[in-house]
Amino acid sequence: MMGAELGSEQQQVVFSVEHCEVCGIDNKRPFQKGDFVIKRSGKCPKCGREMMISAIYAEPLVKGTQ
Amino acid sequence: MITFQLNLFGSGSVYLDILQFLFIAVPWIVLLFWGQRLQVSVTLGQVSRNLTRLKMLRDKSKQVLVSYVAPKTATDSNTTSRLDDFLEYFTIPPVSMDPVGVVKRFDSIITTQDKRIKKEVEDLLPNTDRVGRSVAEQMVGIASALNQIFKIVRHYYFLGKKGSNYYLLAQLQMIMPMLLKQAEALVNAMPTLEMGQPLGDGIGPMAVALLMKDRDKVEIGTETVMAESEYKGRKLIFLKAQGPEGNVGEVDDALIKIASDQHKDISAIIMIDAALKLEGEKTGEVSEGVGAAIGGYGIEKFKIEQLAFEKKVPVYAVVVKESIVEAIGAMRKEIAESVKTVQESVFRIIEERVPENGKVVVVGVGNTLGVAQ
Repeated sequence: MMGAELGSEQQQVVFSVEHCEVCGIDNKRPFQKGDFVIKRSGKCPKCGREMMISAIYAEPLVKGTQ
Repeated sequence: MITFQLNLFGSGSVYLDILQFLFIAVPWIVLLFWGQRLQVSVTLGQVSRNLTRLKMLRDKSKQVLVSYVAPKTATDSNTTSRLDDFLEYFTIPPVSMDPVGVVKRFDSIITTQDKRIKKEVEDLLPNTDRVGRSVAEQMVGIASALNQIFKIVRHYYFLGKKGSNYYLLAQLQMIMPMLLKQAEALVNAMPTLEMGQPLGDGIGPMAVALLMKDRDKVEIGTETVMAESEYKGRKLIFLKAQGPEGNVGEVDDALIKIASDQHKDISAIIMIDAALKLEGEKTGEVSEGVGAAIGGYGIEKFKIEQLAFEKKVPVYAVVVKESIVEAIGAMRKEIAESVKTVQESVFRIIEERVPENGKVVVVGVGNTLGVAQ
Protein backbone atom coordinates (compact mmCIF):
# COMPACT_ATOMS: atom_id res chain seq x y z
CA MET A 1 0.00 0.00 0.00
CA MET A 2 2.84 2.38 0.75
CA GLY A 3 3.93 1.94 -2.84
CA ALA A 4 0.72 3.63 -3.92
CA GLU A 5 2.08 6.88 -2.59
CA LEU A 6 5.16 6.75 -4.77
CA GLY A 7 5.34 9.51 -7.33
CA SER A 8 2.32 11.21 -5.80
CA GLU A 9 4.39 14.07 -4.32
CA GLN A 10 2.60 17.32 -5.01
CA GLN A 11 4.33 19.87 -7.18
CA GLN A 12 5.61 22.81 -5.21
CA VAL A 13 6.26 26.45 -5.85
CA VAL A 14 8.90 28.34 -3.84
CA PHE A 15 8.37 31.87 -2.52
CA SER A 16 10.65 34.49 -0.99
CA VAL A 17 9.15 36.70 1.71
CA GLU A 18 10.52 40.26 1.78
CA HIS A 19 10.07 41.98 5.14
CA CYS A 20 10.32 45.67 5.99
CA GLU A 21 11.92 45.99 9.41
CA VAL A 22 10.51 49.51 9.86
CA CYS A 23 6.87 49.08 8.79
CA GLY A 24 6.62 45.32 9.40
CA ILE A 25 5.16 44.80 5.91
CA ASP A 26 5.67 41.41 4.25
CA ASN A 27 5.81 41.00 0.49
CA LYS A 28 5.58 37.45 -0.80
CA ARG A 29 6.91 36.89 -4.31
CA PRO A 30 8.15 33.90 -6.36
CA PHE A 31 11.70 32.82 -5.53
CA GLN A 32 14.43 34.08 -7.86
CA LYS A 33 17.80 32.41 -8.25
CA GLY A 34 20.29 34.19 -5.98
CA ASP A 35 17.74 34.84 -3.22
CA PHE A 36 18.74 33.86 0.30
CA VAL A 37 17.48 34.55 3.80
CA ILE A 38 18.86 37.89 5.18
CA LYS A 39 19.52 39.20 1.65
CA ARG A 40 18.54 42.85 1.12
CA SER A 41 15.96 42.83 -1.64
CA GLY A 42 13.27 45.18 -2.95
CA LYS A 43 11.86 48.47 -1.66
CA CYS A 44 9.11 48.75 0.92
CA PRO A 45 5.90 49.95 -0.82
CA LYS A 46 5.06 52.07 2.26
CA CYS A 47 8.31 53.70 3.43
CA GLY A 48 10.57 53.03 0.43
CA ARG A 49 13.33 51.50 2.55
CA GLU A 50 15.19 48.39 1.49
CA MET A 51 13.49 45.18 2.58
CA MET A 52 15.10 41.94 3.75
CA ILE A 53 14.25 38.37 2.76
CA SER A 54 13.03 36.89 6.03
CA ALA A 55 11.92 33.48 4.74
CA ILE A 56 12.05 31.26 1.70
CA TYR A 57 9.60 28.38 1.60
CA ALA A 58 7.76 25.97 -0.66
CA GLU A 59 4.00 25.66 -0.92
CA PRO A 60 2.02 23.03 -2.82
CA LEU A 61 1.08 24.19 -6.29
CA VAL A 62 -2.70 24.58 -6.41
CA LYS A 63 -4.10 24.38 -9.94
CA GLY A 64 -5.67 27.59 -11.17
CA THR A 65 -4.24 29.82 -8.45
CA GLN A 66 -0.58 29.98 -9.53
CA MET B 1 -23.33 -24.27 -14.42
CA ILE B 2 -23.79 -26.52 -11.39
CA THR B 3 -27.22 -27.58 -12.62
CA PHE B 4 -25.68 -28.47 -15.98
CA GLN B 5 -22.98 -30.62 -14.35
CA LEU B 6 -25.48 -32.34 -12.15
CA ASN B 7 -27.60 -33.10 -15.14
CA LEU B 8 -24.62 -34.35 -17.12
CA PHE B 9 -23.09 -36.60 -14.52
CA GLY B 10 -26.09 -37.33 -12.43
CA SER B 11 -26.32 -37.17 -8.67
CA GLY B 12 -23.65 -39.26 -6.92
CA SER B 13 -21.81 -39.96 -10.18
CA VAL B 14 -18.18 -41.10 -9.92
CA TYR B 15 -17.19 -38.41 -12.44
CA LEU B 16 -18.50 -35.73 -10.14
CA ASP B 17 -16.51 -37.16 -7.26
CA ILE B 18 -13.34 -37.17 -9.37
CA LEU B 19 -14.00 -33.60 -10.47
CA GLN B 20 -14.57 -32.47 -6.90
CA PHE B 21 -11.40 -34.25 -5.83
CA LEU B 22 -9.38 -32.55 -8.60
CA PHE B 23 -10.79 -29.12 -7.71
CA ILE B 24 -9.68 -29.53 -4.13
CA ALA B 25 -6.59 -31.71 -4.37
CA VAL B 26 -4.73 -30.21 -7.34
CA PRO B 27 -4.40 -26.67 -5.95
CA TRP B 28 -3.56 -28.13 -2.57
CA ILE B 29 -0.77 -30.31 -4.02
CA VAL B 30 0.53 -27.44 -6.18
CA LEU B 31 0.63 -25.04 -3.24
CA LEU B 32 2.14 -27.69 -0.98
CA PHE B 33 5.10 -28.44 -3.25
CA TRP B 34 5.49 -25.28 -5.32
CA GLY B 35 3.87 -22.66 -3.07
CA GLN B 36 7.11 -21.07 -1.96
CA ARG B 37 8.44 -21.04 -5.51
CA LEU B 38 5.32 -19.20 -6.59
CA GLN B 39 5.78 -16.72 -3.76
CA VAL B 40 9.44 -16.28 -4.69
CA SER B 41 8.50 -15.66 -8.29
CA VAL B 42 5.85 -13.06 -7.37
CA THR B 43 8.20 -11.35 -4.88
CA LEU B 44 11.07 -11.38 -7.38
CA GLY B 45 8.85 -9.66 -9.90
CA GLN B 46 7.90 -6.93 -7.45
CA VAL B 47 11.44 -6.35 -6.19
CA SER B 48 12.73 -6.36 -9.76
CA ARG B 49 10.27 -3.63 -10.76
CA ASN B 50 11.28 -1.55 -7.72
CA LEU B 51 14.95 -2.15 -8.46
CA THR B 52 14.45 -0.84 -12.00
CA ARG B 53 12.84 2.28 -10.53
CA LEU B 54 15.74 2.67 -8.11
CA LYS B 55 18.21 2.37 -11.01
CA MET B 56 16.28 5.02 -12.89
CA LEU B 57 16.52 7.36 -9.89
CA ARG B 58 20.25 6.64 -9.50
CA ASP B 59 20.84 7.40 -13.20
CA LYS B 60 18.75 10.56 -12.98
CA SER B 61 20.80 11.83 -10.02
CA LYS B 62 24.02 11.18 -11.99
CA GLN B 63 22.57 12.95 -14.99
CA VAL B 64 21.60 16.03 -12.92
CA LEU B 65 25.06 16.05 -11.31
CA VAL B 66 26.85 15.86 -14.67
CA SER B 67 24.64 18.53 -16.21
CA TYR B 68 25.39 20.82 -13.24
CA VAL B 69 29.15 20.21 -13.16
CA ALA B 70 30.04 19.76 -16.85
CA PRO B 71 29.38 23.32 -18.07
CA LYS B 72 31.39 24.75 -15.17
CA THR B 73 34.36 22.43 -15.22
CA ALA B 74 37.75 23.21 -16.73
CA THR B 75 38.38 19.63 -17.84
CA ASP B 76 35.03 18.77 -19.40
CA SER B 77 36.42 15.94 -21.57
CA ASN B 78 36.51 13.39 -18.75
CA THR B 79 34.03 14.91 -16.29
CA THR B 80 31.60 11.99 -16.49
CA SER B 81 34.26 9.34 -15.84
CA ARG B 82 35.75 11.42 -13.00
CA LEU B 83 32.31 11.77 -11.44
CA ASP B 84 31.69 8.03 -11.90
CA ASP B 85 34.91 7.32 -9.99
CA PHE B 86 33.83 9.85 -7.41
CA LEU B 87 30.57 8.02 -6.76
CA GLU B 88 32.46 4.81 -6.03
CA TYR B 89 34.49 6.34 -3.17
CA PHE B 90 34.03 4.56 0.09
CA THR B 91 34.83 5.22 3.73
CA ILE B 92 35.99 2.47 6.05
CA PRO B 93 34.72 3.06 9.58
CA PRO B 94 37.21 2.55 12.44
CA VAL B 95 37.45 -0.76 14.26
CA SER B 96 35.32 -0.80 17.41
CA MET B 97 36.49 -4.03 19.08
CA ASP B 98 38.39 -1.76 21.47
CA PRO B 99 36.02 1.20 21.68
CA VAL B 100 38.48 3.47 23.52
CA GLY B 101 39.05 6.54 21.37
CA VAL B 102 36.80 5.31 18.58
CA VAL B 103 35.10 8.73 18.22
CA LYS B 104 38.42 10.51 17.69
CA ARG B 105 39.45 7.96 15.07
CA PHE B 106 36.04 8.22 13.40
CA ASP B 107 36.34 12.01 13.45
CA SER B 108 39.72 11.81 11.75
CA ILE B 109 38.37 9.49 9.02
CA ILE B 110 35.30 11.67 8.38
CA THR B 111 37.46 14.82 8.27
CA THR B 112 39.69 13.14 5.66
CA GLN B 113 36.61 12.13 3.66
CA ASP B 114 35.16 15.67 3.75
CA LYS B 115 38.48 17.24 2.78
CA ARG B 116 38.87 14.83 -0.11
CA ILE B 117 35.39 15.59 -1.47
CA LYS B 118 36.01 19.33 -1.14
CA LYS B 119 39.37 19.09 -2.89
CA GLU B 120 37.97 16.97 -5.73
CA VAL B 121 35.10 19.41 -6.27
CA GLU B 122 37.53 22.34 -6.10
CA ASP B 123 39.70 20.71 -8.78
CA LEU B 124 36.66 20.06 -10.95
CA LEU B 125 35.21 23.56 -10.49
CA PRO B 126 38.16 25.91 -10.01
CA ASN B 127 36.30 28.99 -11.26
CA THR B 128 33.04 28.43 -9.38
CA ASP B 129 32.15 30.40 -6.25
CA ARG B 130 31.75 28.87 -2.77
CA VAL B 131 27.98 28.51 -3.08
CA GLY B 132 28.29 26.73 -6.43
CA ARG B 133 30.94 24.38 -5.09
CA SER B 134 28.97 23.57 -1.96
CA VAL B 135 25.96 22.73 -4.17
CA ALA B 136 28.16 20.38 -6.22
CA GLU B 137 29.41 18.74 -2.99
CA GLN B 138 25.84 18.16 -1.83
CA MET B 139 24.87 16.76 -5.23
CA VAL B 140 27.82 14.38 -5.14
CA GLY B 141 26.61 13.26 -1.70
CA ILE B 142 23.10 12.55 -3.05
CA ALA B 143 24.30 10.75 -6.21
CA SER B 144 26.75 8.74 -4.13
CA ALA B 145 24.06 7.77 -1.60
CA LEU B 146 21.69 6.66 -4.37
CA ASN B 147 24.47 4.68 -6.04
CA GLN B 148 25.17 2.88 -2.75
CA ILE B 149 21.48 2.19 -2.06
CA PHE B 150 21.01 0.79 -5.57
CA LYS B 151 24.07 -1.43 -5.36
CA ILE B 152 23.17 -2.84 -1.94
CA VAL B 153 19.57 -3.57 -2.95
CA ARG B 154 20.76 -5.18 -6.20
CA HIS B 155 23.20 -7.32 -4.20
CA TYR B 156 20.45 -8.73 -1.98
CA TYR B 157 18.11 -9.14 -4.95
CA PHE B 158 20.63 -11.33 -6.77
CA LEU B 159 21.46 -13.19 -3.56
CA GLY B 160 17.77 -13.93 -3.00
CA LYS B 161 17.24 -14.89 -6.64
CA LYS B 162 20.26 -17.22 -6.73
CA GLY B 163 19.23 -19.17 -3.67
CA SER B 164 15.45 -18.75 -4.19
CA ASN B 165 15.56 -17.33 -0.68
CA TYR B 166 12.01 -16.14 -0.07
CA TYR B 167 12.75 -14.68 3.37
CA LEU B 168 15.53 -12.47 2.03
CA LEU B 169 13.35 -11.30 -0.85
CA ALA B 170 10.37 -10.73 1.45
CA GLN B 171 12.48 -8.41 3.63
CA LEU B 172 13.59 -6.52 0.53
CA GLN B 173 10.00 -6.31 -0.67
CA MET B 174 8.94 -4.86 2.68
CA ILE B 175 11.57 -2.10 2.81
CA MET B 176 11.50 -1.20 -0.89
CA PRO B 177 8.58 1.29 -0.73
CA MET B 178 10.34 3.21 2.05
CA LEU B 179 13.69 3.14 0.24
CA LEU B 180 12.05 4.30 -2.99
CA LYS B 181 10.31 7.12 -1.21
CA GLN B 182 13.61 8.32 0.28
CA ALA B 183 15.39 7.88 -3.05
CA GLU B 184 12.72 9.96 -4.78
CA ALA B 185 13.03 12.64 -2.10
CA LEU B 186 16.81 12.74 -2.66
CA VAL B 187 16.41 13.15 -6.42
CA ASN B 188 13.69 15.77 -5.95
CA ALA B 189 16.07 17.70 -3.64
CA MET B 190 18.64 18.16 -6.42
CA PRO B 191 16.84 21.05 -8.20
CA THR B 192 16.34 22.67 -4.75
CA LEU B 193 20.10 22.48 -4.19
CA GLU B 194 20.82 23.81 -7.66
CA MET B 195 18.60 26.84 -7.02
CA GLY B 196 20.20 27.41 -3.61
CA GLN B 197 16.88 27.25 -1.76
CA PRO B 198 16.81 26.55 1.99
CA LEU B 199 16.15 22.93 2.95
CA GLY B 200 13.83 21.73 5.69
CA ASP B 201 16.95 20.84 7.67
CA GLY B 202 17.95 24.52 7.58
CA ILE B 203 15.45 25.68 10.20
CA GLY B 204 18.11 25.79 12.98
CA PRO B 205 20.53 28.03 11.04
CA MET B 206 17.58 30.14 9.83
CA ALA B 207 16.30 30.80 13.36
CA VAL B 208 19.80 31.79 14.53
CA ALA B 209 20.56 33.80 11.36
CA LEU B 210 17.56 36.04 12.01
CA LEU B 211 18.81 36.64 15.57
CA MET B 212 22.40 37.44 14.60
CA LYS B 213 21.77 39.39 11.39
CA ASP B 214 22.55 42.88 12.74
CA ARG B 215 25.59 41.82 14.77
CA ASP B 216 29.26 41.64 13.85
CA LYS B 217 30.09 38.18 12.64
CA VAL B 218 33.38 36.35 13.20
CA GLU B 219 34.51 33.15 11.47
CA ILE B 220 35.21 30.97 14.49
CA GLY B 221 36.02 27.68 12.76
CA THR B 222 35.78 25.87 9.46
CA GLU B 223 32.72 27.29 7.69
CA THR B 224 31.25 28.36 11.03
CA VAL B 225 30.38 31.87 12.22
CA MET B 226 29.57 33.41 15.59
CA ALA B 227 28.12 36.70 16.80
CA GLU B 228 27.55 38.18 20.23
CA SER B 229 24.50 39.94 21.59
CA GLU B 230 22.74 40.70 24.87
CA TYR B 231 19.31 39.90 26.24
CA LYS B 232 17.95 41.00 29.61
CA GLY B 233 21.37 41.09 31.26
CA ARG B 234 22.60 37.81 29.71
CA LYS B 235 25.30 37.53 27.08
CA LEU B 236 24.22 35.59 24.02
CA ILE B 237 26.67 33.90 21.68
CA PHE B 238 25.12 32.79 18.41
CA LEU B 239 26.70 30.04 16.36
CA LYS B 240 25.83 28.62 12.94
CA ALA B 241 27.35 27.28 9.74
CA GLN B 242 28.43 29.92 7.28
CA GLY B 243 25.83 30.57 4.61
CA PRO B 244 24.31 30.93 2.15
CA GLU B 245 26.40 28.04 0.84
CA GLY B 246 25.21 24.54 1.63
CA ASN B 247 27.16 23.21 4.55
CA VAL B 248 26.66 22.27 8.18
CA GLY B 249 29.87 23.84 9.46
CA GLU B 250 31.77 22.49 12.45
CA VAL B 251 29.64 23.83 15.28
CA ASP B 252 30.98 21.23 17.71
CA ASP B 253 34.60 22.36 17.32
CA ALA B 254 33.52 26.01 17.34
CA LEU B 255 31.60 25.43 20.58
CA ILE B 256 34.65 23.80 22.18
CA LYS B 257 36.80 26.72 21.03
CA ILE B 258 34.37 29.27 22.47
CA ALA B 259 34.06 27.43 25.79
CA SER B 260 37.79 26.95 26.22
CA ASP B 261 38.96 30.27 24.89
CA GLN B 262 36.90 33.47 24.96
CA HIS B 263 33.96 32.38 27.09
CA LYS B 264 35.12 29.80 29.63
CA ASP B 265 32.25 30.67 31.95
CA ILE B 266 29.23 29.75 29.78
CA SER B 267 26.09 28.96 31.77
CA ALA B 268 24.10 27.02 29.17
CA ILE B 269 24.01 25.76 25.61
CA ILE B 270 20.80 25.88 23.57
CA MET B 271 20.68 23.88 20.36
CA ILE B 272 18.08 24.43 17.64
CA ASP B 273 17.66 21.68 15.06
CA ALA B 274 15.17 19.88 12.86
CA ALA B 275 14.04 16.56 14.34
CA LEU B 276 12.42 13.59 12.68
CA LYS B 277 8.73 13.56 13.51
CA LEU B 278 6.84 10.45 14.41
CA GLU B 279 3.93 9.48 12.19
CA GLY B 280 0.92 11.45 13.40
CA GLU B 281 2.95 14.45 14.55
CA LYS B 282 2.48 17.75 12.74
CA THR B 283 5.14 19.20 10.48
CA GLY B 284 6.56 22.39 11.96
CA GLU B 285 5.61 21.50 15.55
CA VAL B 286 8.12 22.93 18.02
CA SER B 287 9.28 20.86 21.01
CA GLU B 288 11.65 21.55 23.84
CA GLY B 289 13.92 19.12 25.62
CA VAL B 290 17.37 18.55 26.99
CA GLY B 291 20.46 17.07 25.35
CA ALA B 292 22.56 17.74 22.30
CA ALA B 293 20.25 18.17 19.32
CA ILE B 294 22.55 17.32 16.44
CA GLY B 295 22.51 14.48 13.92
CA GLY B 296 25.24 12.97 11.80
CA TYR B 297 27.40 10.01 12.80
CA GLY B 298 27.36 10.99 16.47
CA ILE B 299 30.84 12.53 16.53
CA GLU B 300 29.59 16.10 17.03
CA LYS B 301 27.03 14.94 19.58
CA PHE B 302 29.72 13.11 21.52
CA LYS B 303 32.01 16.15 21.58
CA ILE B 304 29.24 18.49 22.75
CA GLU B 305 28.08 16.05 25.44
CA GLN B 306 31.68 15.67 26.61
CA LEU B 307 32.11 19.45 26.77
CA ALA B 308 28.84 19.91 28.66
CA PHE B 309 29.79 17.15 31.11
CA GLU B 310 33.27 18.53 31.77
CA LYS B 311 32.06 22.11 32.16
CA LYS B 312 28.90 21.04 34.02
CA VAL B 313 26.82 23.10 31.63
CA PRO B 314 23.21 22.15 30.83
CA VAL B 315 22.33 21.57 27.19
CA TYR B 316 18.79 22.49 26.12
CA ALA B 317 17.23 21.54 22.80
CA VAL B 318 14.53 23.21 20.74
CA VAL B 319 13.50 21.10 17.76
CA VAL B 320 11.15 21.51 14.81
CA LYS B 321 9.41 18.31 13.76
CA GLU B 322 9.56 17.20 10.15
CA SER B 323 9.81 14.01 8.12
CA ILE B 324 13.01 12.86 6.43
CA VAL B 325 11.49 13.76 3.05
CA GLU B 326 10.71 17.28 4.28
CA ALA B 327 14.19 17.64 5.81
CA ILE B 328 16.00 16.99 2.54
CA GLY B 329 13.57 18.91 0.34
CA ALA B 330 12.80 22.62 -0.04
CA MET B 331 11.73 24.12 3.30
CA ARG B 332 7.95 23.97 3.66
CA LYS B 333 5.84 26.90 4.81
CA GLU B 334 4.88 25.22 8.10
CA ILE B 335 8.57 24.76 8.93
CA ALA B 336 9.57 28.32 7.96
CA GLU B 337 6.72 29.74 10.01
CA SER B 338 7.89 27.90 13.12
CA VAL B 339 10.85 30.32 13.42
CA LYS B 340 8.91 32.72 15.65
CA THR B 341 7.87 29.94 18.04
CA VAL B 342 11.45 28.64 18.13
CA GLN B 343 12.80 32.08 19.02
CA GLU B 344 10.14 32.53 21.73
CA SER B 345 11.13 29.16 23.22
CA VAL B 346 14.82 30.11 23.16
CA PHE B 347 14.22 33.41 24.95
CA ARG B 348 11.95 31.77 27.50
CA ILE B 349 14.63 29.15 28.27
CA ILE B 350 17.19 31.96 28.62
CA GLU B 351 14.98 33.89 31.03
CA GLU B 352 14.09 30.82 33.10
CA ARG B 353 17.36 28.86 33.07
CA VAL B 354 20.20 31.31 32.57
CA PRO B 355 21.07 33.57 35.52
CA GLU B 356 21.52 37.29 35.00
CA ASN B 357 25.06 38.12 33.86
CA GLY B 358 25.27 34.55 32.60
CA LYS B 359 26.43 33.53 29.15
CA VAL B 360 24.54 31.25 26.80
CA VAL B 361 25.55 29.80 23.45
CA VAL B 362 22.67 29.43 20.97
CA VAL B 363 23.58 27.00 18.21
CA GLY B 364 21.67 26.69 14.93
CA VAL B 365 22.28 23.15 13.74
CA GLY B 366 21.70 22.02 10.16
CA ASN B 367 22.40 22.73 6.53
CA THR B 368 22.51 26.47 5.94
CA LEU B 369 21.94 26.45 2.18
CA GLY B 370 20.09 29.62 1.17
CA VAL B 371 20.47 31.13 4.63
CA ALA B 372 23.15 33.77 5.24
CA GLN B 373 23.82 35.47 8.59
